[in-house]
Amino acid sequence: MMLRKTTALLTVTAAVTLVAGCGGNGNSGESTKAMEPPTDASATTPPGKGPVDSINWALSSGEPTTLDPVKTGDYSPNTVLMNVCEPLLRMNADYSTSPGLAESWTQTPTSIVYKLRPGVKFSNGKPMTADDVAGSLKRNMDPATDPINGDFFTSVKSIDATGPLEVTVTMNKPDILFAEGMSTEFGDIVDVADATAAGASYGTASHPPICTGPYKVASWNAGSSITLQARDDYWDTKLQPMVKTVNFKFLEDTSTLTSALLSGEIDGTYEAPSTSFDTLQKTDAGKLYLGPSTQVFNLSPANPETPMAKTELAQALDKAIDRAAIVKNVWHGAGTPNRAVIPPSSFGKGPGAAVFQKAYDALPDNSRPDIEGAKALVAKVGAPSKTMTLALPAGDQSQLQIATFVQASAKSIGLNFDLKQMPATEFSSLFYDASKRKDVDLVLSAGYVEVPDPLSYAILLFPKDALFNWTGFDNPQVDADIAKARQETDPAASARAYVDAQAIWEAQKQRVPIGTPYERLFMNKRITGAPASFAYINMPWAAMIGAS
Amino acid sequence: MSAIALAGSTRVRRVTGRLGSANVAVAAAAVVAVLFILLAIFGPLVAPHDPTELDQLNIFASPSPAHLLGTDDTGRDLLSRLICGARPSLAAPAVVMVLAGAVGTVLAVSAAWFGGWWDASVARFLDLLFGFPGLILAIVAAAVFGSGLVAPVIALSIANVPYVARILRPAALRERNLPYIEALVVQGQSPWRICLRHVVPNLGPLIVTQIVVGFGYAMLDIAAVSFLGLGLQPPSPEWGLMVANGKPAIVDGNPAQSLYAALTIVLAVVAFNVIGERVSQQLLAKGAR
Amino acid sequence: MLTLVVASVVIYGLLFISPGDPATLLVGGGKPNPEVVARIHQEYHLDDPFFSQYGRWATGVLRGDLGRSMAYRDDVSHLLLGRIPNTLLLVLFAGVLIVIFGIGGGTLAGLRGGRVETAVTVGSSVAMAFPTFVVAVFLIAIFSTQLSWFPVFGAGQGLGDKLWHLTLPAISLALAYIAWVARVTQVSVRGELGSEHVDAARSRGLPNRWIVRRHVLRNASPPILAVSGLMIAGLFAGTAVAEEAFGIDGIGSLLVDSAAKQDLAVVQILSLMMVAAFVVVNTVVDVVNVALDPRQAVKGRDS
Repeated sequence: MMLRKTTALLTVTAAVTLVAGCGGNGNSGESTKAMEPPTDASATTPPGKGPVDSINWALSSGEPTTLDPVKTGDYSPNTVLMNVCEPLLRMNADYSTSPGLAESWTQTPTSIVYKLRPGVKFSNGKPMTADDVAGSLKRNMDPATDPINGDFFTSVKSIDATGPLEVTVTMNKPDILFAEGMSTEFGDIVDVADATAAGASYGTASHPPICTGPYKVASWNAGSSITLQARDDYWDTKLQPMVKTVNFKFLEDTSTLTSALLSGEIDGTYEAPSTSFDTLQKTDAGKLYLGPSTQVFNLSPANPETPMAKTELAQALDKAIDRAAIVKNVWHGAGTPNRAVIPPSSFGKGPGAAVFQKAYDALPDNSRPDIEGAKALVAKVGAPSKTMTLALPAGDQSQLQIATFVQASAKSIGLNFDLKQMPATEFSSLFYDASKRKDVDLVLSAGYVEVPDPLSYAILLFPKDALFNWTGFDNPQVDADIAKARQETDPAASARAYVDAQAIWEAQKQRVPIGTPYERLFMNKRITGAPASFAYINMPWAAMIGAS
Repeated sequence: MSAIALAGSTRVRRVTGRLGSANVAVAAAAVVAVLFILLAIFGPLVAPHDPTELDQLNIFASPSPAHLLGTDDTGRDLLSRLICGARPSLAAPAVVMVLAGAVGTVLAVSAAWFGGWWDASVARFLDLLFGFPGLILAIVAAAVFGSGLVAPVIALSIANVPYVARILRPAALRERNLPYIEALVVQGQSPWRICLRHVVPNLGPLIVTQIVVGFGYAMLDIAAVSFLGLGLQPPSPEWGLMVANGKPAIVDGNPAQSLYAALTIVLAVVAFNVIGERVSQQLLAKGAR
Repeated sequence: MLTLVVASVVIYGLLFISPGDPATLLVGGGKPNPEVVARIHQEYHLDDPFFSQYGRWATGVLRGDLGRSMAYRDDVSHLLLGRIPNTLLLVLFAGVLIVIFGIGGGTLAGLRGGRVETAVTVGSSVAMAFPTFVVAVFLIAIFSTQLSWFPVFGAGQGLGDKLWHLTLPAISLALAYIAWVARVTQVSVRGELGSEHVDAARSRGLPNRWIVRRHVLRNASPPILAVSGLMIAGLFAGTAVAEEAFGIDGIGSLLVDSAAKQDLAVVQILSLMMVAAFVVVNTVVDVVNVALDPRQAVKGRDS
């Protein structure tokens, strides 16, 4: 009897090995096809052609913590919010902007006068007025609402409704970033009376925002789903929503998300899991689209005392990382290594683009590792004797993969790291609470540049009092260059000031860049039209979806 | 009636006739168990590769002479990781059961010794806690103290105490009432000495049995805690963690990591359970003394 | 019951032994404005003495106010509402499987003997070592890539769809218990079959089926019932793993996710629920046992 039992176990083992063997695709010829870099990355997908009753969309970063435009700036909230609320300027898939709620505007060095579009109604039927616009923008400066984008409003002196459809923004000094920011969530216009009445619960499941966009929030069942309903009184006749209902589900687990996409239970998602890249590319349930992105993966020294804050060690790590291997293994070739923290995809198409590109090209190519050079740098200052900590968010297998590769590269040059996976809340507190950063040495962060201007990211990194300046970097020349770049009204001149600052900052290696993955959009074969570029994060992308 | 009795006894004989092969199976289980224990002690010396050694050009490799079971998502050799994973995967449950055994013994012996309200309280406490799922306690412990193995291990020990103590208490009572123990008490020997030198050692086989029997289940619980992400952190090659880390790759056609780790867990648990069952049977056969 | 009260004090006390300031969890990882933190301390009475806070919490729970989740920014009661049906359905489904295959299989094996018995014994020995997460991973591997008979995620909508979705999770939850119950049933039935009073009944010529029902099964049930109390507790614990593995929105996955986020308000309520369920189930099992076999009441508990 017991012998039979052992035999049974062996049979099971054999069966399992067979399954495992069949399943694994290893490095056989078939899989190398999937590993080739994509040649068809495009910002848009074929346009939708007909009405669709409803779609199920997955938020792979989980449930939004809030839908209040002044408190967001993250994947899940924006993905939902920008279909409901609109900014003054509309963002397009190629990162250019067009008039949105602001039909036109006139700009002087210290003021912008926005002429608002007439006939726009909030989803509750109320007409949008200049007071709503002024009030919405001012919420970003009001400490009572606990806004997170205050940095973009530091030069603003006042925002006033100066006519029934006119708003004037007066500034203390010129600021090139403010106008650019008006195409993102902090340019979102809400029904201000409603926002004020809702008080602390504004933007939560019990009181989602009321705005002017193509969809309105029909329901938000905390913990399970958010449902958007198309409006039939949306002002833009050229962008009428074709999908009547959008059901957002919160699916962070990559296996369940992938299975749901393959079976058709979920019709689409942004940031489709890299770990399922091959399956998603091969399936005929739908298509995996790749688009340009301004997402960046970086390694940031966490505090001024860590050994990694020493330029030589950061430069050494920079040289040791095999970026080409990371792009191939983690992103299956759908990505690019970055030479600088701020990626080329954020250079935009304006007069500054050429300046940015030239400066970037001048930086050394770091896609392949230079172990000898790295070791020499470590030898110069001596390797730290203690084991350091590399923090990353828990539950993300592809970030764990990246961190593991980094850990191995570091080890090969004598820098030893322990990996520390932190749950979401704890991890995000690293970004805002200096005391939490004392116990870690390096943080793997995945951020993104919202507007096509490197300066918008630089103000958060370079200056002495920048929000994400964790190493105490203090260079008056850099501060001056950044301030100058910001106050320029000519984009090319602004770009030149910026690249001067970048040259100094990058040389000091205050952050080690890794790379930028392509945006991965998966859509079921029955729908098409959503933008494939990362710009979706500030676009009313759902209104572009239709039957294929 | 005699025909039925005959049929019954024939069946009994058939079962006992198979005891021969049952012994073979127990022997096999013992071999497996010893193998795992040896791996837990000597694993890192025996493994063909360093479990943290990456091969960035060779992720998800199929089995080959260089990598007998293939590689994982960062190119690490699966076989080496499984071998080196024996230590954390076996050590934690061992700690759980030894702790449970220790605390259970203390409770049982003290209850038997002092009797009265203490005995009643202990009995009540054990009854209440008995059967409460250790996994839940471990999850709650992780909620309070953060992830890692210390909190879940302590929680699981607490959950296992009733199983141990429940068996030990009557045995301790019987020991307590033996004439020679009474004689020692009369002689004036301190309770501590009597317990430590006589009672506990006599209970020894029973204690060890409980530890072995519970070991397999503790291993399953610890693996489940790691699978849920609340236990050891990467890059530890603990088996439950390997199952969890390999899970995203399953839907992409690379189930090897998860499946091999899962199978290893099952193999180890079966081996220890078989041994535990046999040890337990032997002890029962000897009779409650 | 006293257990519940004591347990609730312990559970509530967890909040106090956990390291860190609970207020920072409420801020939710944003900028920690000291004024905001102070306001939170005041609003949630975080500086009051322990028993005063406990009292406030306990009376709130009794009144139906289960507290507020910091991670989800919603009332705990809301979070529970949508999830309880899924978990209950899953546990019920698993229970049905256990009864049919476990008790059924074990009975069949005990009665028939021979090949059936061997198959059940061997199968159960192997299956007993397969924890929920292992079965889940195997099932996901098979049904997400090779076959597609069952979905491998979520709980679906509507009763029929839900049952289809919960099939694989129920199997992974139930397998080890099916094995265990089958074993216990088989041994028990076998024992009863060979017992004197069954022999006596047979010799009197009573129909076999009647004997089986009246004597064998009835007398074989106490051990089965004894383990079922343990089993139900284990099933609820297993939902934590099964729901996590299959992406089901239930109480189990809520417990795991809240534990990972250290969202203590939710963890406290869920622990309380588990303890309460545990106490209730144990009481019910005791009562049923006594009803089936009055001798149990005399035997007492400390054997």
